Amino acid sequence: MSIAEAEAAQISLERPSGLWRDALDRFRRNPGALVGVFLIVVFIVAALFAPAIAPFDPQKQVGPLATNPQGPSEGYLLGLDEQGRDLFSRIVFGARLSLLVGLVSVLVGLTFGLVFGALAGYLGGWVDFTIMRVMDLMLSIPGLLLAIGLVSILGRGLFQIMLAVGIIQVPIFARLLRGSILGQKEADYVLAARSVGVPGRKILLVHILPNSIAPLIVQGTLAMATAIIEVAALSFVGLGPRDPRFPEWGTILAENANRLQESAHLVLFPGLAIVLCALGINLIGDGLREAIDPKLKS
Amino acid sequence: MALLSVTDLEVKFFTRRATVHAVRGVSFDLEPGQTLGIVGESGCGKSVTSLAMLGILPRAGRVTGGEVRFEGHNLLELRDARLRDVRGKDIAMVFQDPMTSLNPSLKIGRQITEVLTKHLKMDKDSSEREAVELLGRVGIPNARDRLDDYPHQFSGGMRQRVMIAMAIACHPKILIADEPTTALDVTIQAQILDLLRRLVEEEGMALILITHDLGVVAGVCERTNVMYAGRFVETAPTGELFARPRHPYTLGLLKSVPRLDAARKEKLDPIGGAPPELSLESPGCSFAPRCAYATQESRERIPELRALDTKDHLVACWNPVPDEDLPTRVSDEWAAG
Amino acid sequence: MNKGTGSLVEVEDLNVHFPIRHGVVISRYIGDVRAVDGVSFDIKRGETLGLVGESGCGKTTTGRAILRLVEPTSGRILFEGNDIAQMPRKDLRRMRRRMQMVFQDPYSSLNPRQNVANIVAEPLRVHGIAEGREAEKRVRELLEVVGLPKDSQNRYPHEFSGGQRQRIGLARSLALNPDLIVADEPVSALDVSIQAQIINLLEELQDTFDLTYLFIAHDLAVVRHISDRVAVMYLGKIMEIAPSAHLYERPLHPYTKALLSAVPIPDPKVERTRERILLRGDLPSSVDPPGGCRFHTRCPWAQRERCPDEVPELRVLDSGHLGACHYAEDIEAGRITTRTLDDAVVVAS
Repeated sequence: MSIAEAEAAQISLERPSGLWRDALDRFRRNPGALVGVFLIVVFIVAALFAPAIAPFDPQKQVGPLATNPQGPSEGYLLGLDEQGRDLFSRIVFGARLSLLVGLVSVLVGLTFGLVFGALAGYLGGWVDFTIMRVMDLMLSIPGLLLAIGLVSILGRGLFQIMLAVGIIQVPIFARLLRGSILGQKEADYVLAARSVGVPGRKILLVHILPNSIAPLIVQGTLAMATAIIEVAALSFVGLGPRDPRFPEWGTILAENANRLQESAHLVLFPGLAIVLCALGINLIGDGLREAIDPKLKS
Repeated sequence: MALLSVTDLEVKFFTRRATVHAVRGVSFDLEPGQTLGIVGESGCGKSVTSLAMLGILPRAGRVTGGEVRFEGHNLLELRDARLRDVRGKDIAMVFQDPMTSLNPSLKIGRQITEVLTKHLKMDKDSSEREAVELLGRVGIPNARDRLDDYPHQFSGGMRQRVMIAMAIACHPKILIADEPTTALDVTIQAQILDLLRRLVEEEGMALILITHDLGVVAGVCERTNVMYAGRFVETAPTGELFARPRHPYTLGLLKSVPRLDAARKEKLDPIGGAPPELSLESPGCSFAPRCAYATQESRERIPELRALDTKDHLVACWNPVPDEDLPTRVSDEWAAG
Repeated sequence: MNKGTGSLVEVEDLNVHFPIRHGVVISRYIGDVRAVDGVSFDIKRGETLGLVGESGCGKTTTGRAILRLVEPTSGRILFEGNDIAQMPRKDLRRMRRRMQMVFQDPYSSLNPRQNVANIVAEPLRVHGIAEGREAEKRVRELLEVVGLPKDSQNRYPHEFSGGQRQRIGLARSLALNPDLIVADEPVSALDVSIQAQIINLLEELQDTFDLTYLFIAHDLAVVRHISDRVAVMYLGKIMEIAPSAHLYERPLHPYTKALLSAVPIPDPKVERTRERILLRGDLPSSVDPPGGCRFHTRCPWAQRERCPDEVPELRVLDSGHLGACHYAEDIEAGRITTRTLDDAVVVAS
């Protein structure tokens, strides 16, 4: 038996473990992350099964009109609003909107951010310079103001709002990816791929990108929380989606902001929904970051 | 009476995955002015030993047994405040990477005078003068001007000199140097080792030199302890250790390292396999799986350090290397040629 | 060992300079880092040429330039007579099959998201040599040759130790059956007891596959063990080239002498009695290197004549032994001794 074979025999490897499986394990053991998952699952279920869960039609008047609508009471889990509509049903249906907006706007932001970030990071030179200066410009304007500006230009349709909120996310993703790529570009394994003769395109797709994505996954999750809050904020200033069929949490909040004293429930519960939803997403995002962080692997 | 006396030191690291037994019962004495080398590969526990002695283990590490006696006190039982007095003043430490052990945002002068004002209660002017003198002693030219420089303005070798200056500032009784030259170029390494030798003599301090490089201990240390998987496997005066390496691991190390002065020969004799996982407790000798001399007893009982050859040459082995397997003295051939 | 007499690689006056720019909005060109500054040497077919030096000497850059992983600023690199320094990309790809590289850091030289099978098979696929089954078979053979167990194929780099990862890297470099392998510090990051295993493996592979090695390292003892000839670099230039035994037993260049005397030897008797040549000060910057002989600012034998203003050429000092020093013969004959007043110190303890 050659020395090589003898040495091979001495090497005992453990059960095969993919990188993702390790990450999943770590995620599962993180109590914060699990709480986050629980919260989000609740909201997802609410959104998906809204018609089954909500006891009433969110648009219909089911109780008396009142200037001082009643809070949680018999038959109305979270109370009524001043138009006699059931608050619980409205919040449950509102989940659809919020989650949809969060998802779509982040997808928009990720897509463009990925493209710009990859171009800037990999090509460098004036492409990098130009793209980054545009990103800098966008970042210099506070997100909400930019969103307001975009919505004023694009209009108040649901799709336009998602687009606007998505666009303000682009610079963050672009920067993140660019930074990641710059870091990986000089790595030895990239050099090794070049020395083997792997063409540039393939190096980017097979080697660099997969190793640069991790921070974006985390940021993507966190961005969803931000998106939901941004949309709520837009609604609050009166620029939310106009469709009265879908009661957006921010809109509900906005409509009832001046009723805090008398009918606190109308402000409290939509606000709580926003907070819990964002919290859940943040917890998941943090859990993901800890799970994926390569520093934890030795 | 020994200056420092370590008895049965045990250190464990508690992580979510497993508990790592990094140091498994280490004992040694250090006499005043003695130079002791602790040699071993990465992960054997040599650095952890010194960190544990000074109470600066990372968060997951804990001393789970033993004592460290210094000047009548057990360092492991001292309260933080008292320990901080000892640390830096009576026992000083120099680390491998000067870039991370020096504060990058403070001027060098400030970092040195801080040590002086805190431990020796010097006033500002005296501490500055002393700092200049210290930098001069460690071979940094234009010391006065360099007090105002930041760490990044020094080269690796210079930074290490600064670290050494800070370490000897309070005339410590013991200097612990943990891989002080591993990150440096060979010619700079020679300078730093020469500096350490000189300072040890000038200050009359004891030195514990921790390294993986057998050549370094050969040149600096009077006595050498070989560490493997958390335990000392052999300890002897350096000359004796290299002449008669009785522990198979020591022998293996010597045979597997290419020597600068050896004529080019055929294959190196590597030690097969790999160092063991420190999270597992093996019933017998940790080196047994890789040892050519292992017997059933080796696998079942952990050997204790016993005297062999001379009373200050201790080996922890059931089947120490027999005379015929000891290496021939390459140095004799070299000296002749 | 099959050593042909021809040269596989000839490097002629290679220069690799990296421009330094300063400024945020408008960057000004202020100078060059002259990483490799006029280097010439050859690598004979079948031999192992060791390239040693301390940080900043340019050895890694030289290795990468030969593979055109960095662009040479000027000079020629002849591989079997073809100048690859200026070769267009298209033709270069074909040349890449003949020369491969092994890297220093086992933790960053493998793509963490690729499994071993893909890592080793990638070269085969990229050059259209083998696909699917065929590639799998070849991968298995390569893994066996480097001493890795068969079921390594589906595993990921993080499941292996440092030494094992280096073996994976070696398997990858052998996939294309290259003639030349540039090994850039292949064992520096490994534990002592593992280093020996990998060094032995490298030697075995050289025999089996008729490989030529450019072995870049800073560990002089390792280089001595594995190399036929050794070249010593300092600040971008070659100071001395000689057959291994000659260089180590009778170094003729002051820098080599100092370098060798600085290496610790695992033998207390030797350490106590050997003559040490300690250099003063640090390595000068490669942006603004000293004029004349690069080494003259730290050289224990430096003379006021010629050393500070005349660049010594790499010339023949003995059979097969070249050195770049104006006074090499004088120093060797004892006509010039070290200056004891300032500069370097000779310590015999």
